[in-house]
Amino acid sequence: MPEEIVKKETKKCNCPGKESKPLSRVVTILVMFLVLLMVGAGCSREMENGGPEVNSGGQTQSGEEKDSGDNSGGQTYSDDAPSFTPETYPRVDGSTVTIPLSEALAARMMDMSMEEVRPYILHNKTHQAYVNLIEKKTDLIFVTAPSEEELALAKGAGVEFEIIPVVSEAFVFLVNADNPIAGLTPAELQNIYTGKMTNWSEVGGKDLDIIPYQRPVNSGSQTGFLDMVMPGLTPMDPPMEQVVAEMGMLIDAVASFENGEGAIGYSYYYFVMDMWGAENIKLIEVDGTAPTPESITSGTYPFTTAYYAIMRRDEPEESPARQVVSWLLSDEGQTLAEETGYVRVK
Amino acid sequence: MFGSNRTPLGLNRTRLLLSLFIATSLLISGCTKLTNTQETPPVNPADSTPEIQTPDAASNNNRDPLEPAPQPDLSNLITILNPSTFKTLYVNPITFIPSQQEVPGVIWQSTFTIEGLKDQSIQDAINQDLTNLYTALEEAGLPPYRGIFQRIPPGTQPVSSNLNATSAFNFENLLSVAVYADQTYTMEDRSEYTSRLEARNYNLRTGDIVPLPELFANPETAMNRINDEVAKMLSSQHPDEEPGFENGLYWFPRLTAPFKGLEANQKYYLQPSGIVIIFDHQTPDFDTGFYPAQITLPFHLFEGELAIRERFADSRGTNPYLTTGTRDQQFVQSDTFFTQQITAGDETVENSSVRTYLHFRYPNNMPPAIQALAETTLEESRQFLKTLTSPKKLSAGEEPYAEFSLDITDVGPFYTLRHSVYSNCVPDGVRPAGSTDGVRPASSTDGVRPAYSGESVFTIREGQPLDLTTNPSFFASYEADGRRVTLESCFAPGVDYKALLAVAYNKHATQYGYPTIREDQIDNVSFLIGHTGLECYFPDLGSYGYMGIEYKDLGCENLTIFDR
Repeated sequence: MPEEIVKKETKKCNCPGKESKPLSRVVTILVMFLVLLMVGAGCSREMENGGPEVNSGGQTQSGEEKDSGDNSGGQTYSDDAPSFTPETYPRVDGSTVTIPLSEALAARMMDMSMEEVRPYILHNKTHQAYVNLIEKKTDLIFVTAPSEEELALAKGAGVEFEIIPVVSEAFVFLVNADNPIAGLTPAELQNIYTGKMTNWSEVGGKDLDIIPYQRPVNSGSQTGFLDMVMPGLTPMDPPMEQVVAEMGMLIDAVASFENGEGAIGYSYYYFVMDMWGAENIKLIEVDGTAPTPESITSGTYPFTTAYYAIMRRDEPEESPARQVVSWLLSDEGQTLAEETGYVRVK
Repeated sequence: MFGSNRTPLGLNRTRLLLSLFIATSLLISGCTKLTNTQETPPVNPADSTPEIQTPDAASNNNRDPLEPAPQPDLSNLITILNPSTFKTLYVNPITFIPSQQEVPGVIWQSTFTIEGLKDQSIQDAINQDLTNLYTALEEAGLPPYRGIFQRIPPGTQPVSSNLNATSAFNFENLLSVAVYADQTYTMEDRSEYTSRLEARNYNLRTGDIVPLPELFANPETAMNRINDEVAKMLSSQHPDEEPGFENGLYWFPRLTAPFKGLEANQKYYLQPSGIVIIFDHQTPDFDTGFYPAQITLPFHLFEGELAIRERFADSRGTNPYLTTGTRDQQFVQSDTFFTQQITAGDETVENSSVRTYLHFRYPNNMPPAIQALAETTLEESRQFLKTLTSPKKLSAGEEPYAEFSLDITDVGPFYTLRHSVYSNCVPDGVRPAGSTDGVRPASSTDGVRPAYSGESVFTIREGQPLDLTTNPSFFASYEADGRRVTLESCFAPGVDYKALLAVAYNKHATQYGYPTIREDQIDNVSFLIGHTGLECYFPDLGSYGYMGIEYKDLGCENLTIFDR
């Protein structure tokens, strides 16, 4: 991540009581009863800070059962979150990878199902989201880290970003599940990808050629790979293949990962954790640390990054955008992110 | 499906009881999951014996036509052991009754209903279901794509709407209908275009909607296989990267989340080449914009795993159609789009005086004889391009060029080869007598372009009496062992194939305003075996000589190519 990025201190949601949702009488009474119980148990501080109230089942408590389509998982939530309508919800934008997060968040904030909220949430992809934020066409973007180009654009426009990591992410290496190698060091990864190590036996594995797959030039993954794993190094030429593009034209393209016995490839944790066929691959340890939600959140896994909520620094206090980000950083917000498939930032 | 809950459409009580009785008998005999279907599929499945089981499909009645289909109950579907591989498809003899509506510039609709089923109640139910779908699409507001309200405010009315229903697959007693609803919206500062695609797959014997797993011999594992193949295709396109990377395919659906697999109620339709999976607002792990994305899973990916013939056509049922007699056939269309299945190249051959291009595409894993044919042709093409010299007569500023393309396609058990030449390098002395326009600019697209030479350059061309000036394409079909297919051998012994070809040619010639052909002009015909018909060139007719002749116009009963 470029040095210009200033990570903002995360803060608890401080916006209770905004446009509370309509509650049925029974549910209201139930919530009041639970609140009274919690106050009696000395839990009011956590509530104030936006922390979830845990019921006996270990789930957060809600004021209302939600018919939230494909994301509810039967969970219920507390009423601490700010409440919005499509008209009052901040203008959001972002990367493709953060769409589920953005949609789940909006569904929670607007008390809609995922199907209902989806038409309201448009992410115009990373670069355009930055441009829209700079041009004040949006108030809040959920994105990968800004590029030098985007930082320069902001600077040129006199816009200062406030960059807040909201979920963690990691750059992971995958090999065939039958590959006996448990892990590699960053130096070994660099040697493999510069072509200095070509056989798995050199790192304690089988006598088998290493096939180091890469990602397409200028893709997000390749940029992450170069920045995080190969700083100052030039990777070897990747395996190539010909693919048929539009109009039947053949183009040379970086070969996609094929899970052969000698293969090694890379991706972001978010995209490989629950993917189809995950049982056939293995995420290797780096420097003895496996990529797990815990090691990624704590930063003990070496190649960690984040997805960010970014606002203009002059975004007013208590603005809808700030309220949304504050809630996302709350324990409940992080739980929502986790349920949506991301790794908590804290 | 259209009747009350989960009762197959058109299934009367007697038939239902019969099915239950048969199913119970099978259960008692321990055969419910083990039906051996190794027997040879009948030539005319429509006229075969009564079916032994009828799968129950999800009812389409009383549900919103635009909502996702319910998850199918697969428990009633038997597993079919050793399903036959199929290279041909029997055409369903039904009639499409078109309906068109147009308000110029505002509304254009092209829909259809069907006729020709013996069971009127099944036919009515299918037509009602289609009509309901058309109506729902007409009346639907903005399609619920993600983010659409940010570009088109809710309640905005389209300025133009198109509704187009197509019969995507009408074979083997299955009917796939794909209905596109396209709309254009105009706001103050911009226009937005949206497209929605809905599909229906009907079992014409029962009227049931056919869920994706039912196409497979083992419905329980079907989605695993589909998801394996979808995952492979996705992986090859880096769908977890945002568009913008080098060589990124912008049309391919992007993932917003890991691909976790499609479910059994996945929206799809069939084409003669395979299974088309539809990605849209009902697959939110994919971001497709305001229009659907589709990928085709070719049938050959699932060779030996599909049981289309056994479940729908080869089931021993009475003919469900009013029409009797021999059914028309086609070949399963091969799909060579994805490079995993083809050998391909776009080359420039070194030549200091002529710009050269060589394009080739052919399937992997061809039989050795066909592989040798491809490689020989390629190498000879390279050698020819390497030694080609620039003609002396070119227009001012015109650059000499020669472009070859070689394509081999598997069509049923055959391999068809096309070797085409586009060039302005016609050496002096080999132009046609009296020709003054043997050289045309590279950009010329009018008519047949001049070819490079009249000489027999390629061994595969030897003996071919082609006038390469007017016929720069060489095409032929081969058996797997490399033998070239002759026109005579495509027809049953004793069939006057020249007469058939003449009638079929003249039918189209009359439509197009071409001169008609006489039987004595049907000599030295170049042809290839296509998926739906023979592609022919009758040299005696010059530039009118190219004609695609459908198998149905020749009469499938007169052809032997489907029996190989």
